[in-house]
Amino acid sequence: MNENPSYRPGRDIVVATVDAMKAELKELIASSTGNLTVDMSGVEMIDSKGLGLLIAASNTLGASARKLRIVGAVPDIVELFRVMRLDRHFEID
Amino acid sequence: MQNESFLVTFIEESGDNLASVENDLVEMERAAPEIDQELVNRVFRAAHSIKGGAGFFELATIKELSHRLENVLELIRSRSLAPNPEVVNILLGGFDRLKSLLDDVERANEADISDEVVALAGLASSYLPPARKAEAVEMRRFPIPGSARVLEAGALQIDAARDEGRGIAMLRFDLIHDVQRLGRTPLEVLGALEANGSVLDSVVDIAAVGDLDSDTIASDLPFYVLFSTQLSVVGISRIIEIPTSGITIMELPRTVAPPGAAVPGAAVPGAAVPGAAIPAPIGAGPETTAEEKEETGRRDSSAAHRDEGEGTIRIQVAVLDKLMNIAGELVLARNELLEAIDGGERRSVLASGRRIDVVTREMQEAVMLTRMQPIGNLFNRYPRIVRDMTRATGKKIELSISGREVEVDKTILETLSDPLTHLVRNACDHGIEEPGVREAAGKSVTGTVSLRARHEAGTVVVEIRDDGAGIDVEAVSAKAMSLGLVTAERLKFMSDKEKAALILLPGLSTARKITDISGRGVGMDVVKTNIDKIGGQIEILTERGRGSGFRIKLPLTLAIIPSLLVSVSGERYAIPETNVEELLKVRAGDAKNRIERVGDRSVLVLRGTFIPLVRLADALGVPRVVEDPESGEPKPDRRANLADRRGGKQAGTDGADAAQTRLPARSDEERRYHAASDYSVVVVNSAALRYALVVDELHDTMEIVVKPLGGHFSKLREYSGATILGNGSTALILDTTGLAARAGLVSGEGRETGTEQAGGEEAAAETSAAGASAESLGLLLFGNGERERCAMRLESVDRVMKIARSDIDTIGSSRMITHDGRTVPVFALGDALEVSDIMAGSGELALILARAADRYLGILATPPVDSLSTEAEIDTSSFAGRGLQGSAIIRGRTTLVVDVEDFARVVKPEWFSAGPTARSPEERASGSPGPKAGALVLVADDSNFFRSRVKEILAGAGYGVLEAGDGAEALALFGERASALSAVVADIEMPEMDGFELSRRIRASGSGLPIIALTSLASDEDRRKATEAGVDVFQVKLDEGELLKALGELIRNSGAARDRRK
Repeated sequence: MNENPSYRPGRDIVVATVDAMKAELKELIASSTGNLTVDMSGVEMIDSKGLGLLIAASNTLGASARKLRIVGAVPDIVELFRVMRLDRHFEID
Repeated sequence: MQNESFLVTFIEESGDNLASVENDLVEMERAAPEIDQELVNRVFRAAHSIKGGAGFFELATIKELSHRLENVLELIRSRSLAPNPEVVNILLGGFDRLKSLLDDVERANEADISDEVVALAGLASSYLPPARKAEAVEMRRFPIPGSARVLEAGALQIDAARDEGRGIAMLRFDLIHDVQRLGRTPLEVLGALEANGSVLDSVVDIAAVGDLDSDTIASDLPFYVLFSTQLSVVGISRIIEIPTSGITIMELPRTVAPPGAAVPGAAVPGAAVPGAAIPAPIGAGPETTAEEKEETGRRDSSAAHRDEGEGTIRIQVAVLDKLMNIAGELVLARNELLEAIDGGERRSVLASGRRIDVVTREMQEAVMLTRMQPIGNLFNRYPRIVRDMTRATGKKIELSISGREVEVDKTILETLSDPLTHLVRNACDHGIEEPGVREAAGKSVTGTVSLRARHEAGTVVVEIRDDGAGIDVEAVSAKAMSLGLVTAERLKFMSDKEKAALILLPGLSTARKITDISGRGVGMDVVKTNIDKIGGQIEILTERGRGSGFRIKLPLTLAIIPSLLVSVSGERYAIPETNVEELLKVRAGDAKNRIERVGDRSVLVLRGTFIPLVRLADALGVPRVVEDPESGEPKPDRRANLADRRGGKQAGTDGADAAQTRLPARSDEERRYHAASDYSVVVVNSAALRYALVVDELHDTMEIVVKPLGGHFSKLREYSGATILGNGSTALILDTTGLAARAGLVSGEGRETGTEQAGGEEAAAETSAAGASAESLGLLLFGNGERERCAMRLESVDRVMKIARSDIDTIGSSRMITHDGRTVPVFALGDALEVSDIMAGSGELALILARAADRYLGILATPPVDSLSTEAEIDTSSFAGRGLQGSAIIRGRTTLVVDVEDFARVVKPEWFSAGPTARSPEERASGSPGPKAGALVLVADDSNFFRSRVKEILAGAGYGVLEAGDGAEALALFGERASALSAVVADIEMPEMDGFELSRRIRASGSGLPIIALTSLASDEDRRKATEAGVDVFQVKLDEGELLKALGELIRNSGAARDRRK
């Protein structure tokens, strides 16, 4: 089992991409243990669906006391998480 | 991802936030060591809200700087740091920088703010805050209806919001339904919120999202925001496009309720939203104290003061009420009128007509009131400026302000801002003397500059005075004469006041030394231009040794102005009353005593002074028509000029005696003085002088509604607009300043010297020609050594300084100078041009700080350095070469016009190698260094705007540009320089010869020169015609990338074709 997996979408997390990413994340979470790191480099835009995806992932992880970590996000996405108080749910570097 | 309009809103709001910062900081410094918390808070909030917004728009630099400012202000607020002059200086500098970054957000992120950051960080670190108090002391809790969740905000933040007149709103919306479905992103929505207030707290309903096992990702994503803003429910709903039912304005508990202000349970007006219960905030959270519980019962309703955001104006309720009343009156009056018309009784019709007249006037006044703003909004900028000036000059200056409450039309206020700033700076820099000088003259060491505003007879008068040395009238006159701006002859007849007014002419600066504070030699003419633009008058008051002052008379509003109607040759013209000084009739028999000749001009003798006299018809170039005294028929009047000496007669002397002659065709002059044709004279004032206009008839004065002239007429400076008269005909509104220039009375408005003669067909022809092609050009004149005269465009000049040779550091072959803590490379013109070596002599040196490729470079010059506005044409053929725009004849001397950008290209090619100016995507793709120097493109376009835009684009890409104002001119240039040309870029629609014809002619000459047609015509028919005419590429105006690409390709291909032919 993969421990502390990491996931790098590498493109915008928007309505057009979330379904594919959802499947990938689901599989990655199921096949691993420990906290999940999402490497946001390359993500320039995230829409409501995208936020939903990250929250859903965080909720799935939370069920087994695991956490979602965000790294490499561009400043305005970090700011977005901060203003939305999502930093209470995700660990943001 | 960034939304343009949000960004604009953010910038505007930041500007508003910053508006009061300067004065607050200056006030803080004055009040030190006392700390006015409210003052500090206000400044702090300005920095804070800019920081918030900047974060969203990726404006990292702005965010960083505002963050640093915030840190220092926090220290002041907590009394860890005293706002001494040093600290305030750094803060002012930081805010200044912030302002300039915001002015140019596009490039803000590239800006280097390390100076400011280091200074601010230095302050912050030297005063580490004491162990941070348990600052998150009290929190207010706002439960979300229908949810167990609670939003929280610090009591301090809420108090601050309330004190600013902001309200707290709870927003409940769904990021999927209300945002995603509308094609928006959370970032945009939060950006809009941050731009219009601040997000105090927010929460996403995580549980509603489900997890990855749900069938669909996040079908709902409820989001709750606690938002502090000035917007109303409707306003909020508009900016973020959510239904109003999701917005609830919270009632605010106060920490300390003001006595009697709070009514328990009072609802905030406008806050009630149908169907949405107003959740009461709980003051009794776990953290709250018993003391607070008492207070939560009290309510404050000061949040009622709200604004709907952009494009709106705040109107006093009283004004609105008045408008409502008047509207009611109007309805009554209309009913009365209809009844009266039905009854057919003339008397009652007249009565209701009068009533409507009264009501209309009242309504007009009331509507005007809505545009009025107190001038204090503008005056408040000056304490800072004066403070800075005192620090910079070492003088002691006090600023006294009165009349802040005087209200002026918003537009006028905006236009007044620059001129007033300039005048205040001038007063401090040139007006007030050094303390030592003042003491020696027996004056108090501290100088006073005063700013006053008051109402006076339907106008607003703004006065700026200083008790300094006064204007040296003789020095001004001498300077003006030496520059050829005024003749000795005319000076003889000028009063001191008129002489002082010469400083308003472009190019005249009497500052003995050019300082970098206010003596750029440009400015006073800008003051005049701006004030003219809004129909204002400027009067100069000066008393040697006692001080000087500027009295600016402004109309209350721009839309409706009282004017005098006059007529000439059967046409009516309006002269704004503010420009009219007096009206008089010169009896024909009196003419020889009242009208005299001085030099080649007529002057009116008025109470012992001489006033230039101009015939309006001549000045306007309209044919004069006179009535035949016998038949009453209009006949053309052929005398070209009032002071015409045709037939050897002296105007104004022989006339009266010959009054009875009746042969109009031959002796117009005599008829001029026929008893029936007394002169109707209007004495008017203009920016620089008073003069008299002879008109055919004087009519009433009336209030006219100003209609702007169409763009086609924008060059006609003698008219400021048009109006529609009661009978439906139009009348042009005269601009007395423009008219004076047109008549050759002053050199203003572009004419370099007052050589243009009044009247006559030549003048008319000349002006229409000038209006079509030449454009007024601002030039900085300077010498290179003793003999060579040079100039450069004022736009490229940042400032001019006097320097000593020892100020210049030399390293190897490069020269440099330290300015404002920066190292600026210094060049002599000789470095790139074939001119003499300025360093060879030992004369005085000036340094022109110019900008090219967004960098500074210094260019050495020989004083005097001066500026002027000229229509002189730049000859691009006699002297051509790198770094030169060409040459021009200025003040009778051949002057080299330096092209700073191109000059920099020669001396600092590395600035241009990979920078933003290497603009062609084509070049970047191919990695080629750009077109060869000397690839010359002929640009033909009759629109100055497009022509200069195209020129800019081409020059930016390294092409040389030849300009032509129409097809014929282009063809002529082509004829002369065909071999030097690499391509032609031509407009289609042009006067004289259109682009099709131009192309045909070029092709007919056998030339295969690439031709690009650049046009706003885009029909297939046009394309076909263009192709037939031999145009290679047809483009719709104006795509920079496309143009450069096409040009690059065409030139390469034609070069290759030429090579093959060889």
